[in-house]
Amino acid sequence: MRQATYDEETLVTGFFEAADAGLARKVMQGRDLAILDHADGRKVVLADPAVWKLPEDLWADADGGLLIGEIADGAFRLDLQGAVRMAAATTKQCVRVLEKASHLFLYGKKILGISIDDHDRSLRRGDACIVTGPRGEALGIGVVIGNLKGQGEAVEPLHDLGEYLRGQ
Amino acid sequence: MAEALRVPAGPKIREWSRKQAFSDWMVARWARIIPASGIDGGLPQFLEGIRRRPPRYLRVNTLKLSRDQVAKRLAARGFTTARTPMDPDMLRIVQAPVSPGATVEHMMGMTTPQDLASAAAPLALRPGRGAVVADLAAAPGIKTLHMAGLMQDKGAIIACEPDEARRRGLRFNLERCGITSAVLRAHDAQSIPGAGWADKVLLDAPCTGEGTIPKDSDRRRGKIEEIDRLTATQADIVDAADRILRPGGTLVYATCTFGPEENEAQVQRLLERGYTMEDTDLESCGAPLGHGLTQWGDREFDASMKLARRFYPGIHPTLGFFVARLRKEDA
Repeated sequence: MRQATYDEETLVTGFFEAADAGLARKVMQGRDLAILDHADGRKVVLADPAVWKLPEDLWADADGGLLIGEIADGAFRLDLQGAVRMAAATTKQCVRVLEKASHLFLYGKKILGISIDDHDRSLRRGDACIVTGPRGEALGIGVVIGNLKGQGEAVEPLHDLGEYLRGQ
Repeated sequence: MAEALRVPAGPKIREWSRKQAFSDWMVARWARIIPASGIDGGLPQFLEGIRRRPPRYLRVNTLKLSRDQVAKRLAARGFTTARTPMDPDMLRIVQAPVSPGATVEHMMGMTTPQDLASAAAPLALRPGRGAVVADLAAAPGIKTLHMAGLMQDKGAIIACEPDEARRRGLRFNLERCGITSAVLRAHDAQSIPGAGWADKVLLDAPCTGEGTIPKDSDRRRGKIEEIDRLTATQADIVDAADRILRPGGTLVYATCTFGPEENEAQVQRLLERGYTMEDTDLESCGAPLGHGLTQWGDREFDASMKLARRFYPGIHPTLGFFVARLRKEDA
């Protein structure tokens, strides 16, 4: 684990600020951005600043922090817990679904337009979105595949909070 | 380390053990341990309880919601829960229409199944906001989560887990619950670097796990030689804990087993290095808790060992557990 460079920090905070002004501060809540360098890319985590005051050999070769996304191909991509933090602070890029659809989504099922209670009006087909339950709490990340107000399939799941448990 | 004490099993114990498929050496030892820990006449209740699963509990992640908010959400799903006097952030499951792990609340990190006795270790440690804590045998992370909650996720928890599969489970739990303060080391506790950097150390030591027999009946037929093997490992980890803890820091030693070789004997080694026993502030869990033993076979332990606490299935509504809180000598 290492502290994010200036460029990495700018990339990540820029992502959140582009979604909603002031969002980066709300997502980070006083934590530092840190990086886990993996063979398949740079994972971005939120870490408590207290870590850096400890001897370096405790954290330099360690995993840690809360994974919120990754940097790949020069861009920041949100991961599940990044979506959770983002949905707690904004409705931008969010699609709010009804209770029954929440359960289906957590089993990896697509969302139908009729199950959508509200959504960010700027979302278009092909856009990534954060799927939330009736209380606005993030359930996962999807991609818009159809009309968000129509009868048919509207959102396809990419990542959801139930997937790890399904994999057990 | 001295060999585990062999206690002869009388005919009643041998008969009971044979009928219930327990190792009689284990039951003979329990028959001595329980009264020695201040619980007179508790053996029959214990022998009932060791064969039955205790009540189930859920830890509420207070970083996300309060206990009462979670109780309300679960009630809407048909759960009945109750408070637990020992831990204000735990709910006892009275009735569950589905597995708690299948709920949206669990997936969102609001709840985690945890036995009530194991909550005793973080409660005894009392890590505060901003502390630097070492969790020396962390997976699957239930106590790590508990400590992060007590710390309001501020500070650092250095969690050790060398097994890759167990570390994946630990990572998953920490992410599920939104924890930012944990650092996960893929090495065993004995190789943790440095000295004197931890404010507090939680050592929930690898052990023979006799206290988990109610949920893992395979452990009924254990071998006494396992105690000898594990006490050597426990001693090594205790040495590492001593090294990394700062002078004046707090160490909680805990196991989910009953044998004094794995409990009081390990704590005694620290007392002989100048550590002082402190009160766990845990007195009761449905019934008064057992205390630490001051003698076992020909071994004498310090009188202050009575400040350690013991949980017994059937006597307490929990799995079995041992917990001791110690303070390292100031520099």
